[in-house]
Amino acid sequence: MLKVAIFIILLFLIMLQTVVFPLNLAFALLVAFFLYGKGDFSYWYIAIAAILLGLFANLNIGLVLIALSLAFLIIHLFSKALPENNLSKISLVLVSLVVSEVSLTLLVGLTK
Amino acid sequence: MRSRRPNLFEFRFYPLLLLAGGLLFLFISIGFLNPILSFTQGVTLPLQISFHNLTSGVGSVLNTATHIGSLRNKNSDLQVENAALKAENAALKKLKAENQSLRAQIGSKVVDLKINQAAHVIGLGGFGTKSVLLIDAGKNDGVSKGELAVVKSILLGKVVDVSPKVSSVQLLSDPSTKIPVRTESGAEGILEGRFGQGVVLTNVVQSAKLVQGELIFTSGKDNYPANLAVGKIDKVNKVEKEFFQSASVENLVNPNDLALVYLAKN
Repeated sequence: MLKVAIFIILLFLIMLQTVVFPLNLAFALLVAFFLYGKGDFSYWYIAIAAILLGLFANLNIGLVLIALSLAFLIIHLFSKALPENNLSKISLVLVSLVVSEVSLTLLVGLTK
Repeated sequence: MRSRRPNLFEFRFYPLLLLAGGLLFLFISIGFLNPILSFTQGVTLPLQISFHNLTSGVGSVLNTATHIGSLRNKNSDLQVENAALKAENAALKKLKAENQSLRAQIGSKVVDLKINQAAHVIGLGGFGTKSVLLIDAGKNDGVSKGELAVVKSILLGKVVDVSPKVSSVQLLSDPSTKIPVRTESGAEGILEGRFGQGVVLTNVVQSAKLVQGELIFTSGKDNYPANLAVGKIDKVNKVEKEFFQSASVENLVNPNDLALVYLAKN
């Protein structure tokens, strides 16, 4: 049930991003889900987010997938290095906004 | 407080995701997945249009509610301005006819933009420093890279990315935008997009006169047709020691408020 709810929120967030928000809020949501609901997290969500983001923002889905995977890998590595507490988790969610933006800009922006 | 030891097994999905990304990038780049993209964009486009209309509607209601007082004053100002513009328009029509007849006599042609089609605005696709407008027309509709997005004679930007049913228009505020322009009074310069600053008029010689509120048009150089409006001078930045002066530029229309844009061959 939680997975379905997260998926629906992700879908709406990505659709809203192309009209209201920057393009990396869905990624921050994914990171939050990964940190707080570990048992329910699936790595396929990264692929789903990349496909939706690529489709809705008219970007190359492959490049978005690479960018988000690399950004997620960085956050994942950080999460292993940092102590497991709420402060670390919140910091990682905030950092994920910047990491995904930089990653998208470098990979997708430079190929334009 | 304890740190966990990294377990490599937890990272086993990343090579798969990166490989899938690489393959997708390759297939999409060569157009191999265009039929699938076309089908999926056909499904997602109506959703995007609805979302865009919904957010625009909510935004405009909120905007009206918060600015109701100033809107009344603005309305009466606009009525006066409208009357003045009507009078000016009538005079300009006479001049236009006269100009056309003179051009016909000297054999000079007026460059008119050829509008190919209209497209709905479906959202913003910018990330990082990019400033992009998404429209619901793509390769399947005959859109190609380099086409200009306009509204009447106002230039919004240039098509930079085309997929089967969606295209991305690089807006004037995008940092890679550089267009040769001239002001109403004839000052020439370059219109540039700057991250966080919107649009700026630069490279204007100190001897030229920049007046707040003056309209800026394309000068016809660098593959852009002449006389397309690109903005209005907002704040002039003139420092005597510097070689050039600059000005911040106000957009004539907010691209995200538009429902339709028109595409013209450059």
